[in-house]
Amino acid sequence: MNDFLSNYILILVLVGTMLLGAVAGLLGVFTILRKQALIGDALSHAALPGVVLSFIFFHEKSMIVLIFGAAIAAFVAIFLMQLIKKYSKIKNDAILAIILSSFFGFGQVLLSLIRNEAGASQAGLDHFIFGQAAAISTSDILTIAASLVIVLIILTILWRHIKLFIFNEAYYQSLGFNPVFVRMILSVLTVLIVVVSIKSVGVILMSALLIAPGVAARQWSQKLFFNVQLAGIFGAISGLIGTILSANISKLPTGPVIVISASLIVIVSLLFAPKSGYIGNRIRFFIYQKRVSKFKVLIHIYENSLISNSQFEEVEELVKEAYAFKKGEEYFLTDKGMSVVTKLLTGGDL
Amino acid sequence: MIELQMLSVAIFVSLSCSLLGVFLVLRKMSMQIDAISHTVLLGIVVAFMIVLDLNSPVLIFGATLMGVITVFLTEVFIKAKKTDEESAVGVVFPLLFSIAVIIITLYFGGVHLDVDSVLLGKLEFSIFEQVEVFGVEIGPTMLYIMMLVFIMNAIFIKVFFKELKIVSFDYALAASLGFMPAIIHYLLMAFISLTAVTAFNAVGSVLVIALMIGPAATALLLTKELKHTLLASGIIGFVNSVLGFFIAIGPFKGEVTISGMIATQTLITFILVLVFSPYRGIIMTLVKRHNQKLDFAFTILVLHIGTHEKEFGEEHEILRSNIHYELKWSQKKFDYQLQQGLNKNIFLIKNDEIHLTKEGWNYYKSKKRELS
Amino acid sequence: MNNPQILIEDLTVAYDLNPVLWDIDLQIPKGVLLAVIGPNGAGKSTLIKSMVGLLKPISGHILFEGKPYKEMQKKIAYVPQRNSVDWDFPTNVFDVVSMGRYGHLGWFKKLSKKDRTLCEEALEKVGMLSFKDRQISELSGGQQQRVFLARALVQEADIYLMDEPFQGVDIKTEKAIVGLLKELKNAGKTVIVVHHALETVKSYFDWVTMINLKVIAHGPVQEKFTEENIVKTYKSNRLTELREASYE
Repeated sequence: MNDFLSNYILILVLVGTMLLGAVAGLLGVFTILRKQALIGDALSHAALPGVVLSFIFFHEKSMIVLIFGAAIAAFVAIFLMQLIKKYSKIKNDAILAIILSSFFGFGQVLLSLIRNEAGASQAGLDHFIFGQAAAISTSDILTIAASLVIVLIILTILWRHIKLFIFNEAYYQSLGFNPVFVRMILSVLTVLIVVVSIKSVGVILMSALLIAPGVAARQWSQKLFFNVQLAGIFGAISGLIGTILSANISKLPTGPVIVISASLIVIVSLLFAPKSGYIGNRIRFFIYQKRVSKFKVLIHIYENSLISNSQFEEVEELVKEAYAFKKGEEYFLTDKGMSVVTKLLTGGDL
Repeated sequence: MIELQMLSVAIFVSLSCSLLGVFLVLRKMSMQIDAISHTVLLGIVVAFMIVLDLNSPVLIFGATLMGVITVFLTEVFIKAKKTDEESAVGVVFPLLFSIAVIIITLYFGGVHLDVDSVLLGKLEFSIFEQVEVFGVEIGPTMLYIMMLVFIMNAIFIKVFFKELKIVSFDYALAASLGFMPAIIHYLLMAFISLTAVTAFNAVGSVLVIALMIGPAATALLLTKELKHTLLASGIIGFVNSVLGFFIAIGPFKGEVTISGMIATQTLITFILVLVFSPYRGIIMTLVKRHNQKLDFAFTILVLHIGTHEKEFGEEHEILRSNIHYELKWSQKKFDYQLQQGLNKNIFLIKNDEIHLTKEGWNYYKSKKRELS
Repeated sequence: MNNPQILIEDLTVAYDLNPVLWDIDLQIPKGVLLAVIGPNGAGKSTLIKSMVGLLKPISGHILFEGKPYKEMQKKIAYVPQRNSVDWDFPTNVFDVVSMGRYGHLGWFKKLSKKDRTLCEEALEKVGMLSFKDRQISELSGGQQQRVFLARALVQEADIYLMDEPFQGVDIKTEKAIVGLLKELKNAGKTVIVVHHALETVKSYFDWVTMINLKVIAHGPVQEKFTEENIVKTYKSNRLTELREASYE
């Protein structure tokens, strides 16, 4: 019976974290593209006073109540952020930092006010900060699954709008569409994901869930469609690995392990992705450099067939290797030479 | 007396943070301090694993170092993969923080590494440890530490003022002039890291973020020159901490966390300045825009009269009862502008027609010139 | 050319395996007022940035009076594109110009009276002296450009490298700047300008470098700024044709 129970819980947590990872990863691609990657961090911190106020108001700690409070606080935060951006020259990062810290501080004030009330406890704050993935309940999973469905539906319906809006807002507006609408939808979705995931991974690790899969996905594909799918998959995998590892090694907290899995995926992607991986790039660049020095002269030949004295030796070397041939006083490229020149100019691999 | 001690700690934390915060904001690195506030935990943990002493100063050193490393790693990330700054920050710090949490849970489940106080800090508790001179307690250790940090920061900024200025304003120029901006940059980061670490101990990480960024951003709303910005930031930080402190102690009778209150106050001050600031505040901006609209409407009316006045067959264009129809204005709008014009001696009414006075003609000509 | 002041040899610069400058050989004599022109993305800005060490080339080197940039830093003034700086920074016109003196001051030292006078003179020359206490966010594009120019002037350099100084600038400012550049040239300085407007090359400059991936032409405007060269630079040449063809 115990075994069954613990397996059941494990499966719950597994499903929950995978769904969460998927939906956060999906949505994160858009926040990254809008250069608002850290908004998840800011909103999740800003949610605290909302959560506490909601508790005070409704006198209960159910998920719905807390989510409601978190959402309200998040929307107030977004409103303030846009207000500040509109009427001052303060840049995005400072706005995020101010909202994040002051809202969270206010939340602490509220928490300390109710500290002595029945039901409130400091432990609640701990869970808020670090998350309690291990305590995912069935209703939590339903909520997460519902949010995934909502996100997918909205993305499907509004795909073209969102895509155009993100890549060229001015053009989108010139076509007669109202960017405010899309912006609001994206904000609402972000808030939704943030408040839903706070309970599981906590405030601090929120950003990783939103950002890491998207950053990793970008290394493999530049096409938005694949990007989004890949990010969802990476997010789900992070949840999978994180849950399984923490289930098997006692005392390992789930949230942080999920984050580390996500980060590992990022690192691996960054280093080894075929087209844009860092290691691949360095190697390719190194080879390119060498090739440039060797075959530079060929470009001169292509241009005007005349060589200065200093280049004579180099050219003769290349003639020997059949990249060029001599006719009278002038040099010309062979087919082999032409293809080298073309490749060098277009920066492709040789 | 206890209150005074707490207040003075808060004040010096605030002063230390608000000065350096100006450079963070100017260089668009505000969120880095959020990152640092979390990753120092890893520095502390690693340092602890080496010296196994919770009170060792090595911990502070380790934390400071970790702060600098965080910034460094973030920048490597940005440069190597052309990621934008926010994304880089958002990947690096959760990773480092998670590592720290895991190490703590696995190895130090029993040790009292109170995450709460590292991250959240309690100003109220910061005064417990006192400095003793000849058996007499002369004040909380924290106070002297923060005073020292404040003085160090002030000296740093004073000595390196122009270097900090040029590196923050035009990194490329600084490099081309031979200033090795990277050195200045990391020196600044080291000071920021050290300030953050010592301040976390006193007031918690969230408040540190608020204290570094809030006053600086508020000061930027008000000042036009870096020297003034620094001064204003310090003053605003001071005011925020004093106000926050007394609100927490007074109306709330100390039932609320002082740090949280000060952090909240930071936003209140910022919003107040944003809305009410005489030159660029929201209210002034809206008022200015409104006035501009009125002025522009007036100009239109003058131009309209001037253009049509001298033309035959166009009298209906300047008929008092008709103009608002021609211009598609409301009666109210027209009446208002007409009155303005009469008051300023620009218009005169003749046979129910509006004409320009001599002054009106001068005004008309100058506006025409301006607009062509 | 004997003893060119600036010698560029074999310079190849690429972004991500995509060459932007290919095997550039240039000899620039002292005292010229030179325009670097070419289509967008042709490498003009890249050339200037490589000259001041902001970009690392794949191959080649650049020598100023026989020495590398680092040794000649004090004698070279770089005026970047206007958008390279945050104009919301809390500083005023005079302050920005005075930053040009920092190179001479070195670390820690403060501005001396002589420095201040130099700054004021430079501001006078560009017609911005009355703006000296104005905060830079309140300046128009033309005014910003003039401030940048003043900042370069106070560096008392021998060589001036400017990246698109006429971009987005009103006519009056443009004429004023050109006048100053000619004055510099007459004083024996070398001025190299990345320029985007073909119509004014003949009247503003005496030398021209035409670039599109490679150097298409380089020399006195009279000789080299010909119809043929312009076509080669802007329409196409053998190399760019090759590149275009292979993209298909």
